[in-house]
Amino acid sequence: MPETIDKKSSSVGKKVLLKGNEAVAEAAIKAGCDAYFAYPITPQTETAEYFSKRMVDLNRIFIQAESEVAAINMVFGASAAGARVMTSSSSPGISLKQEGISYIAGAELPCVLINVVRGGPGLGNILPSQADYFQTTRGGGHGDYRCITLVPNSIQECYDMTMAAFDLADYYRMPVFILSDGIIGQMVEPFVMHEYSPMFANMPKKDWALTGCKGREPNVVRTLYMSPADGLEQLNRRLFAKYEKIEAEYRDCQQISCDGADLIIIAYGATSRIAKAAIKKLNKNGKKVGLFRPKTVWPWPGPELVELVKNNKKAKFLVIEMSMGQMIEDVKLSLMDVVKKDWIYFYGMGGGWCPTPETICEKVNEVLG
Amino acid sequence: MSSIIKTQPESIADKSTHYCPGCGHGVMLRLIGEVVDELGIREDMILTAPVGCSVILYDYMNCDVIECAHGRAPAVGTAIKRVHPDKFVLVYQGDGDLAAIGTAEIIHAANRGENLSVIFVNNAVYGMTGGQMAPTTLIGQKTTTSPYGRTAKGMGKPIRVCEMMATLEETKYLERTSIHSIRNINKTKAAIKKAFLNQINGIGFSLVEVLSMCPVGWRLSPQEAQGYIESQMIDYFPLGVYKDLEY
Amino acid sequence: MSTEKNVLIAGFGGQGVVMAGNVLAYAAVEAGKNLLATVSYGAEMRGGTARANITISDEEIDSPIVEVPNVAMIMNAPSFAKYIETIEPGSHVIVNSSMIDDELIKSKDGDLKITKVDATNHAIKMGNIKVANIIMLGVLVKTTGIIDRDSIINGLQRAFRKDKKGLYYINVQAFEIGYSTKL
Repeated sequence: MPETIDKKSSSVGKKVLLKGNEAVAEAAIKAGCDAYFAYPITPQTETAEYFSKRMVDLNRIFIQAESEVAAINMVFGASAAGARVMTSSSSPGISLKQEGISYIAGAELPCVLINVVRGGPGLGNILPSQADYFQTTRGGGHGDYRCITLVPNSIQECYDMTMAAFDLADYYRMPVFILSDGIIGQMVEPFVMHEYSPMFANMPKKDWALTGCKGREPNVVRTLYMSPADGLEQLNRRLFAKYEKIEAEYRDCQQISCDGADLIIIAYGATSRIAKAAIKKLNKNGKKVGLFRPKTVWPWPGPELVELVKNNKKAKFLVIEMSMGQMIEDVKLSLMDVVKKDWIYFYGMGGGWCPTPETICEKVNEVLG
Repeated sequence: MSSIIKTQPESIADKSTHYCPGCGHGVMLRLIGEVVDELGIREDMILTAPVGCSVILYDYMNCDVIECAHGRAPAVGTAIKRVHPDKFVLVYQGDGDLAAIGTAEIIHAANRGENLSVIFVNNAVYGMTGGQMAPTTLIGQKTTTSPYGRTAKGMGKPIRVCEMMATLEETKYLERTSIHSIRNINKTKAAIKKAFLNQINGIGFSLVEVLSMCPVGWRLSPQEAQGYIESQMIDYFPLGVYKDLEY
Repeated sequence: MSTEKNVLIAGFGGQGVVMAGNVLAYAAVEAGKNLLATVSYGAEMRGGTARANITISDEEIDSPIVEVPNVAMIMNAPSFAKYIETIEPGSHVIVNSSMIDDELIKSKDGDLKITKVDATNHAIKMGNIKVANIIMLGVLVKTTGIIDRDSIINGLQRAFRKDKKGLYYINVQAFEIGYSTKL
């Protein structure tokens, strides 16, 4: 709600108020984002508006592109040129960007992408949704690839995860998504606006960047490999070796009162906050209910989920999503050998609605009987 | 004469191309290579390659290259130039790339007045996919997707890119040339050089549209293809300078 | 839950609904409280009702979705009609009587503790119609004790420029008038 913040350096370390859509922009700017390209779409437009002023003030690159397609291809170009670069959009716009994201993934270029998910399919509506889970965790565009996907559930995390996204993108040379939604993007909470410090001690040099070939062999950024022998097989194998490494190194989740719980709610993003409110009410009433919250949905924290079951064999599971059920497939895949199929329940909605603590409590009581 | 033929521009890789006999892309490669050498910009240059027959330009040019998605080279080039304003960015596109799938990108890069040099090779056909109708295919011209010849009704008339771009106030230099004869090849080289110098001198968006042969796509011999430009294409796509804001 | 206040501010776009929410939100930060705020967003830029919800609590605020308001500040008749029945019974409601008919207010004056403020007319008297929102905020803060006075002053400092062109001073004045309810 507060549209502007105190941008003097005195804001650093202080609690400030920004929308989620603005916090991701400020974090990007502090993390050294050189260029931002985007096209307006509700409910993420505040990000573009925020950048349009700050980037000009800082003499960095801001272009309101002619389309989502152009914006993602500008990201492709700027990233290839060695810049730290970001774009943001909401579901229909992200669909348009998928071709470009596939090229960026194939060319092993870093970039940060924000999806403030809204209701779909088609134009859907401008209300919050989590129906882009499949798209973001399975690559999204054509070909075999993955994007690291971080899922904030607070404005502090919007800020912190965006900074981390730039480092992860550069470190692993791949696109990194922040999966937000119409609630997280639009809400305001106080958060600490700290300065950026890199998460890796040694960031790899961008010696592949297009800068003109003075003093070196030409650099080529491409995704075309006409024959398998020409390198497509090797590219895909290299990508998947990298993905395996990331799956081992960068899964993240949060667990709240799962020890001894009779029921564990699995939810991410805005839904996990609503679930947490419900769990507090339920716990007060003596119900043993816990929360398992993925903070990364790719890589998927499946091993953590399995470990949780090892320590708590009696727990049933309730997956809550603002969709008709997408993450639940990952849950079922992870738990297929350790949890009875009919112990995994689902509560979701497809109209851009969100659950409330009360409706979650009702659902939990129904499951626990 | 022999002294001209034996030199190979430094900016062109020492390998044979996959272009068909009589194809205009080989001539264009040579002309760009010569101009790059003459201006001494090979090491400061970033080339954005399109999708189409020239997709493998990264194998033929001895400089930094990015292989773009179909039609998106002007958006990619825009970003590279904004990141490296002191480098030379060449945008190379064909007719399907520039005038069909990438119409929005070229129009808006031009409208923003991006300081780019665009080489637009117009051979009136989709060559790489095997000779389909392009946005610049002539009325009556037979292609694999207009087997009875292109008609205005239902297919539209060929798009005249230079004329259309001339209406955008931020374009600085627009010229249509051809490479069907020595005289026209020399004129094309001069136009390319001018477009490159415009960028180097910070003048702004320049585009050279080059009418080029696709003998295989046109089902003609290389000589007949040259004649086709002379007798058919130039009628519809008049050669000349459409805008030159230096003057 | 017991300390949680869910404040609803509603009115026409342009009446300073969002700004009043900003000031309250900044003040809550200054007072060291937790808060979570959302503003209605829709397809239209003008003509609809604007709404801000600010949840203020001493405890962690988990759910980001709007709870049933238990404090409200309503600036025009359409918002009154739209929201009055969504407010928790027994809540304090500050209404702008310059813009809302007495009959309408009376018809809904059931279990709610309604305080009428002639805010728009008073703001006009002060020479700036735009401060009606902060006058009402002053009444709201005084009536509910939701936040201390000093924090609101600090909140006003974060929301308004203090230089010559800035609106800080007139807004402090507006707040004080509401707070002392010298209307």
